[in-house]
Amino acid sequence: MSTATSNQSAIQERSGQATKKLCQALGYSSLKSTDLKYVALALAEVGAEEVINNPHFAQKVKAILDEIVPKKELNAPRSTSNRAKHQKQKDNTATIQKGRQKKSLLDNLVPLKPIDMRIINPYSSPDPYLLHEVFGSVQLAIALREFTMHTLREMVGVVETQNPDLPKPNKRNKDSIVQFILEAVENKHTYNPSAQI
Amino acid sequence: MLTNLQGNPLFDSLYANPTLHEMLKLAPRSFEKFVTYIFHKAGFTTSDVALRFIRGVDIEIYHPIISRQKSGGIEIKRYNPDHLVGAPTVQKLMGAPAVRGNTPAYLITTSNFNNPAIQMANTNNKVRLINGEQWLRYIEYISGSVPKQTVKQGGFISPDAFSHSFDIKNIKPFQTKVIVIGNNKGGVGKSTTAEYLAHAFAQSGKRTLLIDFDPQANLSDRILGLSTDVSGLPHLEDYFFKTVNLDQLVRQVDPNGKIYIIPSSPELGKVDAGSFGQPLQEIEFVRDFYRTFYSASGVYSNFFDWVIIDTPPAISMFTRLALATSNFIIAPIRLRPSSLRGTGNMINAARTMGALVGEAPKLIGGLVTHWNDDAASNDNLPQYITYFRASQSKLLSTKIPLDVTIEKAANRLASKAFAAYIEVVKEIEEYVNGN
Repeated sequence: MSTATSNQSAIQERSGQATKKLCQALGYSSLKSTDLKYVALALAEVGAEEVINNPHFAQKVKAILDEIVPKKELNAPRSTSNRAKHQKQKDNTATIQKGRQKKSLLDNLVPLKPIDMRIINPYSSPDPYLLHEVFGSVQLAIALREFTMHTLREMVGVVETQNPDLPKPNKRNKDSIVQFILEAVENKHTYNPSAQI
Repeated sequence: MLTNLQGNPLFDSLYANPTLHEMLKLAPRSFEKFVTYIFHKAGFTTSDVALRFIRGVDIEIYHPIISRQKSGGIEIKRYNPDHLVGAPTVQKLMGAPAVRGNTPAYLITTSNFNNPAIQMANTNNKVRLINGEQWLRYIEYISGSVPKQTVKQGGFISPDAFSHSFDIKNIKPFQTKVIVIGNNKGGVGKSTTAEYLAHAFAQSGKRTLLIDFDPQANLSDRILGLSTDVSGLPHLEDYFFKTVNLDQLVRQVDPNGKIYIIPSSPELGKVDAGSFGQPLQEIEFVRDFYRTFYSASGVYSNFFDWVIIDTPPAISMFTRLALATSNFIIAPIRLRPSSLRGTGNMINAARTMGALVGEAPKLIGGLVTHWNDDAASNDNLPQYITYFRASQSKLLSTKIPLDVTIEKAANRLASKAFAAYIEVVKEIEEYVNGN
């Protein structure tokens, strides 16, 4: 078994043991494997808050990541039999770059409350209230940071329509806009359905 | 006849989101009225005879136009899941005055039937048993289909295809790789995607059958290289005109024997029944397809690695047949609102046809086409990824670049778009092998 494969097996084993330990501690020892994504989501939500507020916790998480994230072996020798294969891979790089692009963080979103695509109004600005209902606060924060400033300003407009008396965010600052939207959808301000465009 | 139950908010809500759990909350008499409501939606007219005990059934259903033509008698049992309907109930129905002669007799329950009940029903070919799961599928199918009540020929959506006598497990008995290229919106690149995927599969040694279900016949024209096919060979509409079998329509396209097509022509439009629900005919096509291409005795038994079906930009009869037949969907989209709308409509149609055959095709993902790496596209992309994720789907990582050479035969396979389709094939195979 190659080094890469044995590392992968070790990580999988560690992951399995850690998940089992967590589920037992929470009293969910009989969870199905299909439910584990919900455990991961709950952990991510709580963990994100803790990383922001607790530097010691953040340090622990970073230490584990530094340990397990594979590093590139730049000086590993290539055998001559692989030379043609590597050359072909280089030749295909341009093709690949024209085709598949790296995954966005948005590809990892998991809807807490999936919706029928037909209820989305694609002709109007993205509705942050709807997205909050679908994805929850943590995932919405991730999504908002991936949106362009143009889209975020449109979403600010949706919030301001709901709550015209709110203090305006700094529309040149992404963090300010994201914070403004998150506070609005988390019901720190009132949602007025009749104010919808 | 019962008064019109349409506009009943409780029933409207239950129709929009049918669950057995909610139906069991209805009082028995209310549930009978809900069943009547559903049969109205399916195009029938009805008569509530529950209090006329001499009829032996709860509801009688009639042809929507020819009011004297009885379509069946329905006995309704609103039971909890652990209370199975037994043979005595079936026997009593068989003898009911309302279903004398050849009048179909339906027994609808929210629970299920025990084996003696099913065996009893099998002794009489006019008895149709519909259990809770089948009842939900019937409702789902009706909500996505149109009864033919609106045309003078009259018509309704029969529940027969949802009864015990239809073994849906054997309708699509084989694990196959049949992909629909679908989107209700036109101009998104469906035909182009079908064509290029076939070539991309061919490059990896796979044999593909293309089926052109679009009366516009763009795919057929491009593949066969003729603006009007003057070969005299049959097209897909000839199958629906019942002059040829499916296997007689298959034509080899390339000399290497990797790409085949069942072509269409504008004549195909003449047989389109639109979104009218024709469950028995739809099932018959699915059975015919699987007999031809996947059964041991089929002419093209397991000959093709992939079947790719191009569909028209409408929820037509052909889109419905394609969705009923397939296992997977690729939805080409442009990053425009109308494309998203079209995708949503197509997904809904897939759900309707899944209710008919027992399993809806899985949406592999949206495929962004006409991709231009400009500000507007990059502005829209995160939203569309998010919208697809919100509906438990995704956009494929590969985007097909805007390429003016894409439709020109001479240098098609040298185009940058083709390089992208090679990557799409990899994404498709990763998805399919993971499922």
